[in-house]
Amino acid sequence: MTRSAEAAARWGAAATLWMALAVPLAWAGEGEDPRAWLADMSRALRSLDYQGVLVYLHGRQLEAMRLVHRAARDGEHERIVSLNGVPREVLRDPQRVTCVLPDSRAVLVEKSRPRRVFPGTLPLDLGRIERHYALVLDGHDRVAGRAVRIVEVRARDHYRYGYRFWIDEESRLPLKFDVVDSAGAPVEQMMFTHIEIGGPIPEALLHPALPRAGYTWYTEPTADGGEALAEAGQWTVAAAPPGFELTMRRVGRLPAGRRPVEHLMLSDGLASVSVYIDRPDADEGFMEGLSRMGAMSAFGARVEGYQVTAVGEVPPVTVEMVARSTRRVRR
Amino acid sequence: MSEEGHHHGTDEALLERLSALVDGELDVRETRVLVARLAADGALRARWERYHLIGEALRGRLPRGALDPGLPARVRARLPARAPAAPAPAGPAAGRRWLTAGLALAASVAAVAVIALRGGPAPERRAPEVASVAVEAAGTTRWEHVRPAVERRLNGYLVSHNENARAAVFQGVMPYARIVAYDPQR
Repeated sequence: MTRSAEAAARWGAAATLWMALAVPLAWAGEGEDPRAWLADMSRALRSLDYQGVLVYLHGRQLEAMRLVHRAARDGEHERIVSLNGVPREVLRDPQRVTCVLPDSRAVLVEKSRPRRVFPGTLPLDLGRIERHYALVLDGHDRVAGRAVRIVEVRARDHYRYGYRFWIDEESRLPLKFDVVDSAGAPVEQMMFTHIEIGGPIPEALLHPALPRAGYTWYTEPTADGGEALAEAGQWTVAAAPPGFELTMRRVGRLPAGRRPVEHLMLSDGLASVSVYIDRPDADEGFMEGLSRMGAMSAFGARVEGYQVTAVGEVPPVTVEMVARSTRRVRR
Repeated sequence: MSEEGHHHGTDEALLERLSALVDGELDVRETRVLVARLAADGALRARWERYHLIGEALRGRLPRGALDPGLPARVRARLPARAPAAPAPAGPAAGRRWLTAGLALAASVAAVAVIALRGGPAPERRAPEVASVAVEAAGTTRWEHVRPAVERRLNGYLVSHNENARAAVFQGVMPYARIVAYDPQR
């Protein structure tokens, strides 16, 4: 517990400094509007420096990881390292996200994309979100010794999950956040058991700790990824669950993928589902049916000799509906 | 004992005993008394759960597959409004691995203990037992029911989806926590 005491002392000093610099970050959510709290939270996640121990729970699994986040001039820098089990590590910077997976001696590299801020860039987005979710400002609580406000994003139907955030009143970071089903039962939970807010974050903390010799690197090819599917844009989702609209369509190679795949993305404004259309090698094989990992669901279907896989942080019924209704429209 | 409950277990001596319970330092009798107390006092129980999480996380030795976060809530729902002052000795629980309080704590220092009642409707005035749940895990942090080759493909999809779904605002506030937590040893 000496560490917490140290952290508290450091937090005191850091908070003073940070408050002085925080004038442009004046929080919108002083009042009772859950939208303002959510907007502040998503801005805080992106624009603050913080580090801590994050505990992740789902089913009977409990994992602890160390998280370091730095908001630099060029964008976000983040590092997450597992504290128990295999020391997996994920590093993000404005250019790429690198997943170091010692158990499979592999490094996955994907192009990174900036985090979007709630409620989105279009004024339309909030109305769209509120058609499918109720935003509710709940009570006060304490997490990791700090005063928090509870904000709920309740799904209005069973095609999407809701969220419950315990937002630090001072920094607006979510100190605890649950993904919940439409009945309100937690699907997975994350909580900071320890957090230090405010910089500076030393560069060294953002460097990978793992030796990477002898690892296979899987990187996303630059430019078009070679022989892009000649017949791009030939797939569509015929019957998406209510509120899910097509937001993106691309053809590209994935990290660790040996061939280009078609990728469609659907969103209801908060949740999203990706559909990958792929032609697996004989040795890889097809996946048919449901698989889950925490709040992530994946459903595989075989359509005209192609592997269609729907993946997203949504209930199983949603990925199943999306995968089963994916059709080839052009040939 | 019941008067202390009104203070939601914030007095120092009580917190010290709670800390000792977490560290497995209480004897069987003291453990039983405190466990009855926990059963009746939600605030105290919440604090006890938090002690475990914080302690284990800071020591970096969180057990694998040892805590069912839904269990405390389920137990809470089935607990009698007030636990009896003198808990009746627990009978054998057939087909279950629930151990009695002191034993469980002594036997399994690294395991996170949770309060559990046996399955089926809770009998009247039944004292809760402390159970070590360092048993086979039901949940998983790997993709379920798929072959390794398919698993690799799904992980590629997951990374790609995470990056593209960042436009979806809350899509995994910490989307990579899942990848880091993913453990193929299970």
